[in-house]
Amino acid sequence: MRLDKLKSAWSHHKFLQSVQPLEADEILAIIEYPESLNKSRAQRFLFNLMVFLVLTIFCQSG
Amino acid sequence: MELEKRNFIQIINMHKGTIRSLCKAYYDSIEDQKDVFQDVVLQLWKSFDTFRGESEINTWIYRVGLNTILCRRRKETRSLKAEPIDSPHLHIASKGADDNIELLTLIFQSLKEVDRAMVMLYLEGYKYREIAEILQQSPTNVATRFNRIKSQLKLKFNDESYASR
Repeated sequence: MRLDKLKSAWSHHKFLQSVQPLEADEILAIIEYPESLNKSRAQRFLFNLMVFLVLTIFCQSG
Repeated sequence: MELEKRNFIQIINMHKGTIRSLCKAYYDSIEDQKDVFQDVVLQLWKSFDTFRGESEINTWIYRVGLNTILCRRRKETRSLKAEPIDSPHLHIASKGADDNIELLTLIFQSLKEVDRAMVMLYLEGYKYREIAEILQQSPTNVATRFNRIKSQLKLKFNDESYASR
């Protein structure tokens, strides 16, 4: 199959794409973003829960 | 930094050429390529726990990468009703790049998205059975599609155009 002739072109293309550096920080930012997002969501949820509880107790006692 | 993250970063750095090539084969603009690159890296990270060296790293990267990209393309096509799925949408080669890379670009442009993925895997040296496994299709389907791809390429790119390159 003639496609076989293009195997080296594909390898060469991949090599060209690998020349541009990729910093560890960039990869870390990608993988840690959802973690930080989840953390801030959890914090927001806890804060809202606290406010709700305080208001509920306050209203019931009043 | 945790050992797991350090290992992951090392793997991504070793295979960044493959991941970028996949992204570039499906997205034209630099911004889109960056976005999809991030998607692929994130999906690879999510599946890193389950990877555990059961398959080769390269196969794992192709499996997760291609499935992420194809899934994203399907969603985009559904929601935007954008260009037809087999429309030219990529520029692999830059000006003055190797002639064979330009030919590769033309071939990819002429193929539907799943067919394009199959050809990429074929060029990577995978057998039909492995291609079927990576793309989660039946081997019969892959073989049938490849026959169609071959006929399609034969029609569009005759021997002379190959020979002249």
